[in-house]
Amino acid sequence: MEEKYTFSSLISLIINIESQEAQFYREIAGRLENRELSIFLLSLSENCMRNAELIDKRRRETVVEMALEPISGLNIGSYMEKINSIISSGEMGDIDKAIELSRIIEDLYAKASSRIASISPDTSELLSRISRRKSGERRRLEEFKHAAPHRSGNLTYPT
Amino acid sequence: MAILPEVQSHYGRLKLYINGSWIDSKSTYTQPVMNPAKDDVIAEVPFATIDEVDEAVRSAAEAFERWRDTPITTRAQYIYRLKQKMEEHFEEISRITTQNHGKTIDEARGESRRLIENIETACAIAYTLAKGEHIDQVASGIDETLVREPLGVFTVIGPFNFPALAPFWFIPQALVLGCTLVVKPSEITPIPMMWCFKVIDELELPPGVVNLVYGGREVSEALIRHPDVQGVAFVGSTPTGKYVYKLAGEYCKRAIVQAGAKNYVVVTPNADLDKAIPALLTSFFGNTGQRCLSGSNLVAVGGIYDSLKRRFVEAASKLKLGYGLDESVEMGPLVSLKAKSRVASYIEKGVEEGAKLILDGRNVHVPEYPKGYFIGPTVFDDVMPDMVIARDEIFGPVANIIRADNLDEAIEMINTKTSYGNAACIFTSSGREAREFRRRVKCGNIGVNVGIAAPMAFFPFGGWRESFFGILHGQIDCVDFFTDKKIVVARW
Repeated sequence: MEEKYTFSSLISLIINIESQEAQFYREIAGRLENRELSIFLLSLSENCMRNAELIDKRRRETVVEMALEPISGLNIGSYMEKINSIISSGEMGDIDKAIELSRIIEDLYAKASSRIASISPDTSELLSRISRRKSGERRRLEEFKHAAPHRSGNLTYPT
Repeated sequence: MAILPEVQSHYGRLKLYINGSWIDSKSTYTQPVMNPAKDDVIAEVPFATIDEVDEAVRSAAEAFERWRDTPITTRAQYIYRLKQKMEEHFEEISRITTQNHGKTIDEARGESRRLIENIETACAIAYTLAKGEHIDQVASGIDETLVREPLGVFTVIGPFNFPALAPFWFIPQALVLGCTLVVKPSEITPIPMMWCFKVIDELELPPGVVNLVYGGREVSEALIRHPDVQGVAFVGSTPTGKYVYKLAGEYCKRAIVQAGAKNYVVVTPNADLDKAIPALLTSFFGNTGQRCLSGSNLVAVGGIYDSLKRRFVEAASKLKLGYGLDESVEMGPLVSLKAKSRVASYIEKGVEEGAKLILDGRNVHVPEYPKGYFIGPTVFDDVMPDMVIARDEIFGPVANIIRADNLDEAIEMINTKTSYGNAACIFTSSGREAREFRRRVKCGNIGVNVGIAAPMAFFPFGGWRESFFGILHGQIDCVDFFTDKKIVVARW
């Protein structure tokens, strides 16, 4: 059966994803020896919490009531499976998890943004902006990963 | 998915708001107020006594003399603060609307957003449309000035289906222009407006500027007849609207009456069905079909019929019903048991008339809410425009599929087969068809590739024929309703 969401249920799910992501970054930040990376991850966690608040505020402020149409075709189930599998993975290193998690969420938000454009243009624009910001953050994580062999201390812990 | 928490499970015996205070009505008559998803009583609403109506109007009349002298810049500041307060209480008002009316939380939030847009529009009115005109030296030594002045006390009588929004097509505009008000919400869904008044109370307006009473026909009549009331702004059904309009005329009161509808939605062979189908679901089943802009008659033009019918029915059959505080629910219950019976009887009528019932919403079962007033999406095929189900306003989730050979035939149906003229929509990718439709249909709110043609607050809320009585409409149009002009010819 085709998966579909109401605007509210989709946005609530996204807010939940931000909270999950925030918690994940806090947890791995606490495990790392690389202080600079740890601080960066904590800042990502704070960004996620701010995103959640902004998205919640924006979805209340800008619903175009005449365009409240069901949202389908996002395949959210598959995204959630990937997100949960990455967070609980025992095989990936923390930094790799963070990079992959960010990539999946960016992709989801970019797609969700286009789906909700008529229902809430402002929320759509916000999701698109958050997706781009996460893309920038992911690139920074990749820089940390590539710089790791030259730095003292472990970048990742086996989990 | 978790249900969002209710603001309160019960709201007690509702109080009147008169002269800046919450008052227990002395009335011995109260009516239960229901949560239609659960068939639970969530409040009692007293019907105000005639003395209490008089008290409310008199306090508004006394307050008017001071309020009209309050500089418009000061009045505007109250309205700016009202916007801020409504934003703070946005979620509460939305959840209460869902709880009392039954609409989904998205629909309720959308309603709250449109309410706030009306407040924002009133702020704009203060500095623009409230102005007058002046011409210097119309004759030697003589200047001529047009001044716009507020008229006094008005009453606003609200509908059940947009219990927070509809009175706000008038409230902030009236206040910023210097008028005072007595508001009477629907006795079926009074709680959202009661909560809005709690928010208004936080503004600390001068006592008497806004007042709130509850009741039915008798209270409405007492308000309209009151010698201190200058006019009535009413939103509701056409039969009641006609009565209100006649009564207002009899007592020489101004009236805005936004009334009922039987809206046609036309889909031409040029339509993009991928985009049209979700919009049609919102049009026919949004707010459980309980809105004056809802689609009722779905006209399939020419060869679009087969694919339109198949896809529309398939999509409609998958709508999730339930309690609107569950964010995954797509359609709530009807507002009352009486409404449910009424809609069910129309479905029976359709079957009797020979229409083909291809999706029957009567026996829908919502396991978590077995006592809710649910009727599922219902679709008739082979409907003829002269059938009762095609002509009467059903006000429920019932869609009638009617076939037309061409656009001309569809337009002809809209203009001759219904006496209503609230809205009409067309789905097409042809600009020529859209223009033709827009110019020729005798309706006030036109949708092109939009299933709910809801005007923004800075446009009037349209309506023609038996969907509207009066001259001026709700939302921004009511500036000339709440004020009148003085023309001053001066020589010094």
